[in-house]
Amino acid sequence: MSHLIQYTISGIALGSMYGLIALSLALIYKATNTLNFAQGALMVLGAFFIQKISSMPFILAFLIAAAFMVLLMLVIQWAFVAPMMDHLGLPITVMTIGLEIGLLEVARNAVGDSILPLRAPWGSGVVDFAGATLPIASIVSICTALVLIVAFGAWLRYSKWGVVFRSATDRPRVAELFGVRLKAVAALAWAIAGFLTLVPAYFLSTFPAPGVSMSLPGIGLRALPAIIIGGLDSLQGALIGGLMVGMTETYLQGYASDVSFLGSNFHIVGPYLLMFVVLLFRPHGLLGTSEVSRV
Amino acid sequence: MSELLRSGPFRKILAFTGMLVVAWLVPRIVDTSWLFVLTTTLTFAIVMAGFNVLMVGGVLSLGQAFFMAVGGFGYAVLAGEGSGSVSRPVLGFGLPPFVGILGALALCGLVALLFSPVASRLSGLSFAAASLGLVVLGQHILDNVPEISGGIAGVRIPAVGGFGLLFSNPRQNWYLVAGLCAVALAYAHNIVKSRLGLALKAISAGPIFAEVMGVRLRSARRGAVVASAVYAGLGGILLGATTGVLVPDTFGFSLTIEIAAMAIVGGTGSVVLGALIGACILVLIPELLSRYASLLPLVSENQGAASWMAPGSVSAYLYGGVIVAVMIFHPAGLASFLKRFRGSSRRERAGLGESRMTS
Repeated sequence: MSHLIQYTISGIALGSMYGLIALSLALIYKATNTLNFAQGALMVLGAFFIQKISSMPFILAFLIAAAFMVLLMLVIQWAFVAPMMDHLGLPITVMTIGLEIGLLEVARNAVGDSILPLRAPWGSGVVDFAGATLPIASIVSICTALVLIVAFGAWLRYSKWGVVFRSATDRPRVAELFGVRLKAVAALAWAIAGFLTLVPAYFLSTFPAPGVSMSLPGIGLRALPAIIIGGLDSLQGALIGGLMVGMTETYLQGYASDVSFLGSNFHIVGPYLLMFVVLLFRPHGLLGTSEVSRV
Repeated sequence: MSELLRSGPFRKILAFTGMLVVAWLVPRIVDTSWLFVLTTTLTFAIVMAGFNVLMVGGVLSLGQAFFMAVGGFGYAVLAGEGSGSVSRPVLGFGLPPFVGILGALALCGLVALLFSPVASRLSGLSFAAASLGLVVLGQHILDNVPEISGGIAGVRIPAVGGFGLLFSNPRQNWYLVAGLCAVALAYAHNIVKSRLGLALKAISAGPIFAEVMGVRLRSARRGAVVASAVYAGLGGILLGATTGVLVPDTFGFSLTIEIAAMAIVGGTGSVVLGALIGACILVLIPELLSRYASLLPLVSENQGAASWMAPGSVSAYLYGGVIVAVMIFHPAGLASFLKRFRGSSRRERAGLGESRMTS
């Protein structure tokens, strides 16, 4: 029983991080109809940057790193995405594959084969909760994700730019007629996605993870089934998908001895199998809308 | 006379003879290591042709590496002797190579059929993610069943042969791959021109529109998935026959992504030319750089003070840069670029830039 509680809470912690990654993917998808394959490389670069300046006070270091990520995303948006706004969809997606290959090489040269230690201000302590042992970091990550999601939801719902964003992603052509600049909205989406990428990158490289290493892009990749499960164009779906993937992974890892007949490291495959099952019944994901195209 | 030269059949005969001469000449001109590179290029051209057939239907597949693995390891199991692994005993039925090839291709088609309940419902980026799931699943199976994959060291692939022929040395293997590549590309060209190809084009233009026109959406997509899986499987078998050993790690995430990216850079609007160009870039950039990178300024094998980058880095940057540049400046791919130069067949330019993605 205590195991179940422990796995559930660490599953939610991991899932909320996947949810944030999936959220940034969904944001970019909604604004530019693109699946951003460069996400993994961006995560390592963000984590590497914050590790380099980790001697500063945490808040300052985090803000500078956030500014760096937002700037990086704006540069990518300005230099690579904006010239392609006429070819929304597949060409930009393939372009991000090229970006991933290049940026990943930058990261590989920076990080190398080593694991760069990164220590969070909340340390590596654990608390006992209902007989389960939980890292404080897990609880902090759940709270952070919750705050970010509520803040983002409120921004989307109530602020002026939130309304602009929703109208531009819902009916781009109509919004354009009303004076919304789609390129500005795209830049905004990429910038927010940059910030949202940094948070999971930070949490996934601090305790219980050993530090910043090149395994981060692979972890980021596991948000891909999350966003498909939730539905590519649904922000809530991204979060739900992230939670489902995170919990599936943690349960399969926790009860690995019971599912050993499925082979070692089955927890990596589990989310993809879950995705297959969801797609079999809901081809557009749980909350995705089936696009109505005009004949 | 000039009319005869320009007539269709004459040009076809000329082109066919030209290809035969080139295929005959190549192993006589280049040395063994370059022959290996060119053979690998044609192998990947087959895989990319299958990818392009799917792209005609507006479906982006990231599962090509998985089906290559199914073909390659399937062939190893069917045709292998059982003791042919590198480090440990593996399964092997010892069937004749010819039967092994057919069996492995059938296996690819069968696996694709099993996948099609999921696949035929999806389009665009959802299909991309789902097919990427296949690659993850495939890696998991290969990691956990060393009886098939031979573990980390991989498994030896028996030489291809049949009907008294055995393609065991590099030159014979080149003839085999070149011949099969020509047949496969021509057949892919015909698929696109066939009823299935037309149905796929209609689906790509608009699924509802296609259904109204009487296209059965899911059976057309299923056909494309099976065809592309068989193409990838053939590529996997031939890659194994060329390298002699298949290692499970080869068929992972990066290969599958690079196949997709390079096929699109080559240009999916023209199935044959795009596949050839894409395969050339996929194989040749790393190969050329690993051979000649040290001639470039600021690049050096050893991490000395005067060098900025290792050759591997240059290769990755150039690789990524080519993808980014082609997508920004000519999203329909390089093949349509060449075609515009020749100013011919305007019909076929309806490539990637124009096609709408629905997902």
